[in-house]
Amino acid sequence: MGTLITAVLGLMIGALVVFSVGKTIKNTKAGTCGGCSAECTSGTCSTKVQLED
Amino acid sequence: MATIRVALAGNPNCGKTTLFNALTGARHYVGNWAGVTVEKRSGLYKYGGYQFEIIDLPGTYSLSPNSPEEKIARDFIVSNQVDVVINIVDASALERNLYLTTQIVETGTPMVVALNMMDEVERTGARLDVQGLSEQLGVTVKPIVAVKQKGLSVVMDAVIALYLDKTQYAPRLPQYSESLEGEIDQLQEKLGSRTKAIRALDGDEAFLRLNQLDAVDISKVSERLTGERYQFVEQLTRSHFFLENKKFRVISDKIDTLLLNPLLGIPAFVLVMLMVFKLTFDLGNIGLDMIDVFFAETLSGWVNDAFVAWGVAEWMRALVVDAIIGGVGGVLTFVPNIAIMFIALSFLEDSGYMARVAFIMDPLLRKVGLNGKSFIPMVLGFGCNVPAIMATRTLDSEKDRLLTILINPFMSCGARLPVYVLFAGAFFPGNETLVMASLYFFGIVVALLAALVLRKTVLKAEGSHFVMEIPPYRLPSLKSSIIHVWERVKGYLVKAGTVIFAASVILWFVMSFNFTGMVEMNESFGAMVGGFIGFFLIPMGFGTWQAGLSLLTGLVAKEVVVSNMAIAYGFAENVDAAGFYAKMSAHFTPVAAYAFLVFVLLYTPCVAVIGAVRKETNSWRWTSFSIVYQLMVAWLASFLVATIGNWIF
Repeated sequence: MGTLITAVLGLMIGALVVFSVGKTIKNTKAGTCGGCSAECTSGTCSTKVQLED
Repeated sequence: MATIRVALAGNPNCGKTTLFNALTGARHYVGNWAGVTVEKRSGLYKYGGYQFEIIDLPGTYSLSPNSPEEKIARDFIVSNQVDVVINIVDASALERNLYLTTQIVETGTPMVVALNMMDEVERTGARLDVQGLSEQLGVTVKPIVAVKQKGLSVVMDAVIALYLDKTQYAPRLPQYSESLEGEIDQLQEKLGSRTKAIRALDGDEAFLRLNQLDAVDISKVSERLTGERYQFVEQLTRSHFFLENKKFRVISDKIDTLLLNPLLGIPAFVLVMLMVFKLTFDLGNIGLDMIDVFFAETLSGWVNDAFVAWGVAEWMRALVVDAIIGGVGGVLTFVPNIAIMFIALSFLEDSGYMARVAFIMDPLLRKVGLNGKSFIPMVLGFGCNVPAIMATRTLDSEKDRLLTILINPFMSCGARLPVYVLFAGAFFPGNETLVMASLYFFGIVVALLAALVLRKTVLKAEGSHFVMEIPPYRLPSLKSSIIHVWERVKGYLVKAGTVIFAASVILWFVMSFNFTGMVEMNESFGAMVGGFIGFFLIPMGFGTWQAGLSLLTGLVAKEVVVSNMAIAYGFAENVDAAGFYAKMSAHFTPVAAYAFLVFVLLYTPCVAVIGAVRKETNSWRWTSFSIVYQLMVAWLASFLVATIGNWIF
């Protein structure tokens, strides 16, 4: 039981870490504020979301 | 379903983005000052059996392009990419707004005029003859109040009607003096249409080059055209706008005599900001304590007990409790402080006060080779340096823009706030407001000094002129403020759940392992790397591996400094001021703590900012320069603070 929970938690945490690191690298390369906590004055990030919607 | 492309055009700060948000349901940033929108953006809206693609253009005073965002707006309007233009006119500043209206009329692009802020016109005791204005311009004019979503359907009905029958669009073009009309006719013969002749006279450089016209010859006629257009607009305003109650203006002017006073303006700004920091700390800490109890006691205890009962591996228990709950929880604890600070800043921006601060800062900025226009991106930097760096696009001169980008990271962003709150509460009880305020002002002073040095060395140029419209005082819209603060808090929560989460997990591994396996923190990879950086921090009094590693990982996001401290010093169980002080007092003296905060304030903010600098300067050279010089400034300032502090105390 303990081993199973440890394995599941490990996988979940690992996946979230990989996702977050990838997102940070992507945002940094794009030079957008998607990686920070800001509202974007240029609207660059949210515009893309808006158009995709 | 047919799609109608509609562009929103108008002067800066006339309410285009408010209308855009109202129509599309978007939540773009709205501010009571000019230059908030620097790129065009689009969104979809369905109404009356049609789909509208709404394009929000940056604000422009005219179609004679002087800055990048004005060029974006102009090119879009004249390039036939749009079915109908909605020209948003700030009814409370009719004369200035109608200049652009007249120019759009002359492009021939079908247009509906939305007279925004009609409630303000009524409140100030003025009267506007909407029907008369519509008749004289020959275009549909509809009154709206975008912020209250009043009159929007009427405007969209007019847009649909115009789209369905463009033959009904018969604007009355301004008639100029005989000699000017003669010049326009000559150009018209050469270029094929009056619209093109006017475009040339409006100084569209690309258009002039394309048609091999001499810019110098054209500029003489352009000046006359501008003068006569202003006369036309003045007459138009005089005929349809009647100011019947001057009392309102008098009150506004009286407030401005204090806030715009060269001697009292800056002390008033300092006082206002002190109040903001006081609220941030005192009110924020009420919520902070409750969240702290939740993470440090309730959640930690529950997870710990459950993991023991389920037989989860010891290392996983430590990872979840110490790294994730301690690291992420340590950052989330400061949500109330962040929220209160941004409620206050949002109020100051929306009320029109921050635009006045830009005005009073102009003489000071001029002394360091900048102007008040640079102050707007600087104030935005209090939120986050990334959009602030993007907002420098409103600056006309490339060198002004580069200079403002390079000094912007010294403006203390919201991500640094948790570090200040944590240290100020622990090391300077009773003086937290002063400590936080001193850091924000220290950042401004360093930014100004850096501008002065850069202007005299690597970015030599004359400062450009600053012309700024002082917006009217407005009661901030509750909805706008809530959206603004919610976006900020939501962003903070998302950041905590992604970047800070990942950083906390990686940090825990780095601080728990070395080549031999799981070890004590003092022997971990983190201690090795942090120890190397800590060597350079010894002169400031915080040369520990924990401080070194915190500053290194703070490059991912500044809040990670707090997560790092939480894991490294093991205060996942207690992040309140007393608990933090008990753990930290062995490693920091109050002077060293303040010098550490100065370092956090001034060194390279985070990777997102580095990305933004790279994108906006389009140069790795300037990006590298920005990183290196900020590190040097941070080290030097921190060293001076520590040395002087130790000498005095």
